[in-house]
Amino acid sequence: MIVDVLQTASFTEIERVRKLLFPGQVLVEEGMEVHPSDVVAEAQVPSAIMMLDIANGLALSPEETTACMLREVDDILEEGDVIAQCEKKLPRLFRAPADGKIISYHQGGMVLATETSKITITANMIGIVKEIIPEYGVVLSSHGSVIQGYWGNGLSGSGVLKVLEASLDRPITVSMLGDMAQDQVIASCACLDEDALDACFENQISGLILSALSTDLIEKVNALPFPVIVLHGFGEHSLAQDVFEIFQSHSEASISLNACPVDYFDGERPEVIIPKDEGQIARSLGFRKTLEVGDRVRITSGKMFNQLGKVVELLEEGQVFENGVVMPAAIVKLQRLEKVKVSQHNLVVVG
Amino acid sequence: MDHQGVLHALLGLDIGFVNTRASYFGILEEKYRLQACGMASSSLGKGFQLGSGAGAAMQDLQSRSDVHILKPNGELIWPYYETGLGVDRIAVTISGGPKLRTVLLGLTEAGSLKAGRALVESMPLKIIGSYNLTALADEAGLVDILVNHRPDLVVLTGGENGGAEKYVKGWIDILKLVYRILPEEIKPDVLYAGNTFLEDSVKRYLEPLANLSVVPNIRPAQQEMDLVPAQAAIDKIVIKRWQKTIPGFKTLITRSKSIAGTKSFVFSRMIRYLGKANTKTHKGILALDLGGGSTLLGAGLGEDSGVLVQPAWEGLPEPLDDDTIDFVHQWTAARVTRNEVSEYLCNHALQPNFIPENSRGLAISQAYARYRIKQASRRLAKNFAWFPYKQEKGLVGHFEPVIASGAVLTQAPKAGQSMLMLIDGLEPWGVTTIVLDRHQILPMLGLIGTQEPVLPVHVLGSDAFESLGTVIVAVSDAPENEAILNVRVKTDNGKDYEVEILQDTLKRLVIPSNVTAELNLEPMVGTDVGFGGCGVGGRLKVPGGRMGVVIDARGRPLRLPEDDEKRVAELKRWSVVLGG
Repeated sequence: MIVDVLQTASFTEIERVRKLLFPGQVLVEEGMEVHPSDVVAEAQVPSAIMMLDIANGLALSPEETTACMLREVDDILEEGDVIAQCEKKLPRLFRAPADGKIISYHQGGMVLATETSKITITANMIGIVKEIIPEYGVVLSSHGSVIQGYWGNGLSGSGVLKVLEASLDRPITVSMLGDMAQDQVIASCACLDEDALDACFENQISGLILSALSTDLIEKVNALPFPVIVLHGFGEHSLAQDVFEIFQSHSEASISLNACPVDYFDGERPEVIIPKDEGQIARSLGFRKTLEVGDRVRITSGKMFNQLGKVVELLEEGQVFENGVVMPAAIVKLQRLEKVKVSQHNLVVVG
Repeated sequence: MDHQGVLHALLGLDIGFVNTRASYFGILEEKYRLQACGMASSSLGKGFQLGSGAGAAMQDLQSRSDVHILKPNGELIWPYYETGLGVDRIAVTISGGPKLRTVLLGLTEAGSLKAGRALVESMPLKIIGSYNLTALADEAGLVDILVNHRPDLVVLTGGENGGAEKYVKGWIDILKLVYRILPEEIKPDVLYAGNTFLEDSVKRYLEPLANLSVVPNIRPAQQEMDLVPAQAAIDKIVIKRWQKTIPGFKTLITRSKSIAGTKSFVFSRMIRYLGKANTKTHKGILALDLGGGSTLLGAGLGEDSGVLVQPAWEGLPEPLDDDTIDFVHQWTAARVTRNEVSEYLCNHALQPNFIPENSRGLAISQAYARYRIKQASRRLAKNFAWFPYKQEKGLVGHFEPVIASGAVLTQAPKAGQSMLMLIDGLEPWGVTTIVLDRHQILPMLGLIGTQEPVLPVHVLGSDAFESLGTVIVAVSDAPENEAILNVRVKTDNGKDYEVEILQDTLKRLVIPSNVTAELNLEPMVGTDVGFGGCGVGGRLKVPGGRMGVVIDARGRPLRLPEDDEKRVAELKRWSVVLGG
């Protein structure tokens, strides 16, 4: 069975591709250090379209207008440039009403794009430009800890990690938050309290990492101006011990958050990256993988929710569960050495 | 059967968002039969090639049967050997790819855009913008909007054949500009499905610029709608685009000269076929697939047919509206809070593979299945006026059989649970039979039928489809527990008995699969059992099935007690009645 891989690695090589959908300009150079909000590549698309009735302006027929045209499609114009000139008894000019680019001309009518809209790609992480993909983007790299989650509010950013140690398994409250600084990214247990989010907003923190989130607060989190990543899902789940330990050992470190939605086809998950130089490198297992004996897994259902363990046996023939559902299972040896039977569907590999 | 030129063995691969299924169709006793099935996880996603999931599904098929289709190195044996090894033809249906972002352009909301929406919602597309002719008032603004949308596909509809031309020409001018502005790499495909009198002009102006497909008008006259040619063109566009975006898809379908189609398109082909085949009975046919990635609902009634595709977790995990939570909460046969329902659904949406391991999770899943069925039915009725689903009454027309698939239905621990999900979700009227497509082969038959037309006919008549049972719905205004129907049952294994049906109850008559029963229905004056009005009864011959006959006298629409305890007890009682 193929299952999701969620990275929770204390130290690993990180490589992420940031690429435009169509050619543009790469704005960084190989070897440069980038931060989440840095634009690494941009492309431009003409916008703010203006329809110009040149025939009417020159009081000519469309055919006559065409003969008077001085500029052509794709020409770049400045405001006041002469586009067409009529040399009859009473000479007349048609000037560009604004700066722009000629998109089309047909039968006395011209379309002018007076602005360009920029499509930008941001780094979304702290890292180094490892490789330039000419005209399209970059490959970014870094070393450090990676913790991936399930859900994000679509923003990215960076800051200094503050771990609410008291809240490993207690939902975040305003009183737990204490003094907050603008450059802080707060890592905590579940958030069930709207007031806690309001406090974070008022203090203009740089990001929030939560073990879980109340579904009632999704809308509110979507409207926050800083990135929020939910690591274990919706509800009241505690922060997994292994994740907590990574955060705890990097308190006050500079970290980056990419709170993007999960994208199966681009292989993106919301993630926290904590850059650092040294450690024992954990091999990256990719975006999804075939479940195997020996895999380190996290359980995503039932009483053992969020427990970490190792797959010791795969039972491919259907196993009957408490509710009568029959499905392939895995025997998982938990960290406290207890063995449990879990549906293979309800496991994620921890990379 | 004349064996010259006959396809001896066909392999179907159905690639969904969660699972890939392999089905082997061979000839047994002169008829095509489904001989083996296999399943594996779909190898979708970064770092995977689609073929690896397909290979695993084929391995699974081979390991569970005597069928031999793979070489020791895992390669497919193709073409077929006289010795019985391998396959002649491979058919691939796919639904797991990213939906194409689609802009719909038309003239009026109630006319061409309504037809366009029905078209878009019948295929793996997602509407990101829909504009009628009032939008043409600001051409420049509209160009900007369309450029910002950066769609994969533009569907241009509008104008009855021979109708006004100027508005469609307005759209053509807009599209020309959009095409000039958008970079080559992201130029959308364009499908023209409007006034056929303008085809030449559309081709003249757009063909040099765009990847243009021109099909007959989807709304040739005010009361007509024909989506089939447009669906066929979209099917090609989607398959072409998915070959570029899904790693391994192109290799999979080109290596063995496979035929390929989107699941929704081949599903709609089967619905059309079955709907027409049912014409003599004046009944429609309905098929439903509650897949891991999407819900497919199709109905055919004579010459009319329609299909709807909806994401399985539409909108999730964005905030759920209260009506959705209320509905799922109400139909959950366990004491759960609204909050638990909301969390469960949002978490499930984040992990489409998830399968509940406890009773509470299962109860929420099954309640959500009812929600999906109801939502899809409402939507199908909105898109196709002839589809007789009414929010306050249920499915008032006669549709028989109802063919159902999807793991939540076919892998429910008890057959009664599957039956209840379907009855509660659809709220059928009259008499119908429920059939489970356990191996999800119905869409595949629609694709293979293009190569071997007789195969679907043979397989549909075989035991590849499992009869779950017959449902008789008795609707009356009588007070609770009043007798509303008498049923005399005579089975061909010698049983003869009479049953009295009380208002607001659910009753199961056990008729084993190998037994046929004759039912004599005698409704009371105010009871409608679908035989032509209140008080009208008649005889009915029914085959046995896992659930036998279910008589649903719970009324329409179905109502649940407001009190939580009573509501859960009622849901559990219904489940117990059906053996769950």
